[in-house]
Amino acid sequence: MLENGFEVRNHCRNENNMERLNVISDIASCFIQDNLTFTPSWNMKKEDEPTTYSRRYIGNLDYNEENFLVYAIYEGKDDKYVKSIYYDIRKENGYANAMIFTNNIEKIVLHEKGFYFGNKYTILIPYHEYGKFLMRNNYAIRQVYI
Amino acid sequence: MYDVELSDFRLADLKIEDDNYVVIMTLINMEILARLHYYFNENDNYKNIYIFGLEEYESVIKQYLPKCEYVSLSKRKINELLVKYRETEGEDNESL
Repeated sequence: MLENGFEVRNHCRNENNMERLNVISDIASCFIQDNLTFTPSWNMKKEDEPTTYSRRYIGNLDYNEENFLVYAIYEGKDDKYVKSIYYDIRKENGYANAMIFTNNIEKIVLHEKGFYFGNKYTILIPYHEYGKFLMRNNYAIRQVYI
Repeated sequence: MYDVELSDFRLADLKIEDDNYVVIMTLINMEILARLHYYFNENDNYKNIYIFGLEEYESVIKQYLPKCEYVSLSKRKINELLVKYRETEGEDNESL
């Protein structure tokens, strides 16, 4: 985390949180390489807003002139967690774009609830190195055709 | 770079010719996918939509949108496209 420019205040002993922090660090490092503005979840709270608990996003990203809430479904996360992400995005009432890193694209695309929210983008990114590569080069790949 | 024009159909990116359209989806956008799903279900005379996407998504996209045409892009093909882009456009224009 320090290498990525984030202040680390306390050692985290909760295994679930440690895994979450590792994932945030991993994804944030990918954004930082491209000078994208990523705000981790713990820095998103504004002073004049009440604290919100149990939100599932790992941070906020400015990408391609749009703003995204970023989510990650990583190893060990079950169907209940996937559903909780669905409800978390729905809380935004279609006003926020979402970017979801996941190793199980099928689970999202074919989800019984329908993972679409009336916003402009709900982007799925395979959570592996090539997925991150695609995200970083998405503009260029699209431009080849256009 | 290719002989296509920007789409006049709001759900697609490019128009090849009459009633033949392309959606470039190297990263899946569920919002577009869902709109296409309803488009196919609600229109009997639907346009031909070719989705250009990753090889690994083909089965799941075909399952979700059985009426679309899917063009698989391999990693090799994508890398070739990127090389082509950089040769013709240069690094200067590259942004995310």
